[in-house]
Amino acid sequence: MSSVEHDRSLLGAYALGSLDPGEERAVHAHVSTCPECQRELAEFVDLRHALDQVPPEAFLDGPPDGGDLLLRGALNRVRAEAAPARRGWSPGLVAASVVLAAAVALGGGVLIGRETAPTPPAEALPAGTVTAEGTDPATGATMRVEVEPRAGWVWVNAEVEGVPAGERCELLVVPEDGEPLVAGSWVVSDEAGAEGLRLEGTALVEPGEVESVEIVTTDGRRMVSVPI
Amino acid sequence: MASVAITGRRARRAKQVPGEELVRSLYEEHGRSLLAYAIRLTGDRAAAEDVVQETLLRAWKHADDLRDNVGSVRGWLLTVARNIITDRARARAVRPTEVNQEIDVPAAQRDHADDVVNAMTVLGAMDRLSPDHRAVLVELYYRGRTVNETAAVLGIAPGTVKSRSYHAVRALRATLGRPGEVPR
Repeated sequence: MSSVEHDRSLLGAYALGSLDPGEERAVHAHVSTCPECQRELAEFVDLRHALDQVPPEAFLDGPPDGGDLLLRGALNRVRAEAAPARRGWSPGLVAASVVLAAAVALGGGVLIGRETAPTPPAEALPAGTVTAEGTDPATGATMRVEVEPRAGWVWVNAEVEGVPAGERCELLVVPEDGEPLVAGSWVVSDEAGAEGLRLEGTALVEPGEVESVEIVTTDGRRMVSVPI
Repeated sequence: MASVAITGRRARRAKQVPGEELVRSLYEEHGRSLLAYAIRLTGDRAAAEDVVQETLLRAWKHADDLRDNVGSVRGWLLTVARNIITDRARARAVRPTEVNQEIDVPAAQRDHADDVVNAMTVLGAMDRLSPDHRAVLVELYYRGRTVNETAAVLGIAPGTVKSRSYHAVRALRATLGRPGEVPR
């Protein structure tokens, strides 16, 4: 029953599944005999896949119901990130944990949980090791990094704090000339998000040519960059 | 130890918090949408509120991204909220076998990068439709209304709903390009 004549304006609503059953049957019957409509409809149906990427909640407007507690919480987080009150970062503690990181690295490279107790230095860092620290004012992430020279490459120890749990990250070694190299990648666990994380990696960059070490999320957001 | 020098290479910035206004305005405009979405995905209002706060925080951190983004701001925010929820769920799923913080997750496992682009670009494309066309599309597709219901809601004739939906779909199709291509 090809009762619908060639009326392309129905194809949009048909493709969206919005016609009533009678009209839908009629359009279906017409389309089955009309190559032109079939071609156009095929394109419209593909479009539904794109439309499905957008959740229906995307079309709600305004603030949430139920007061501004949520907003206040968000602003508190923003302020906390903007002015991080970091404890336990006195230079003495920093030095102790850097040395500890080096000891772990030299001891075979097995990662262990973050130590908080200062430990006597086991071995000095190799000569020529460059140590630097940086905090990104926007993300609040902090990294202390040691770049140890090797023959034509570098060993990198990094301690990272302030990257939120759930972030998928890469440790990048950026040479003065050339593309950044990935020295490691990981996802930040809840514990690491709260307490920080120690990483080790290597990169095929001449020791004197490291420009910076960075933490970048796998979707390209830079959490922190420390110039070397 | 002589070779160890701890250097603070970056001074921390002053205590003012620029961008608070951005967070407020995003909340006023998009808060309901974000919260409803997060509640549906998490099934938990408290968790959803936390996700929305984290989303607003990230928007504040990445204000440049937000401004330069070719898709819509709403799409960016919804995508970030979903990524937070997905990543948290994965972190929970992984944790039982996770003894230490090992470096073991290849970047390639991040599988929602394409959807990220799509959600933002589709919404961006919809924003470029005429308001009349966009409204018809939203009612028919996203609110699941019939042609007659949409006609009643928008105060137009059912025939107008049909023709507008046709033109809306065509315009969107033209904007988004061929399927399979990731629109940029």
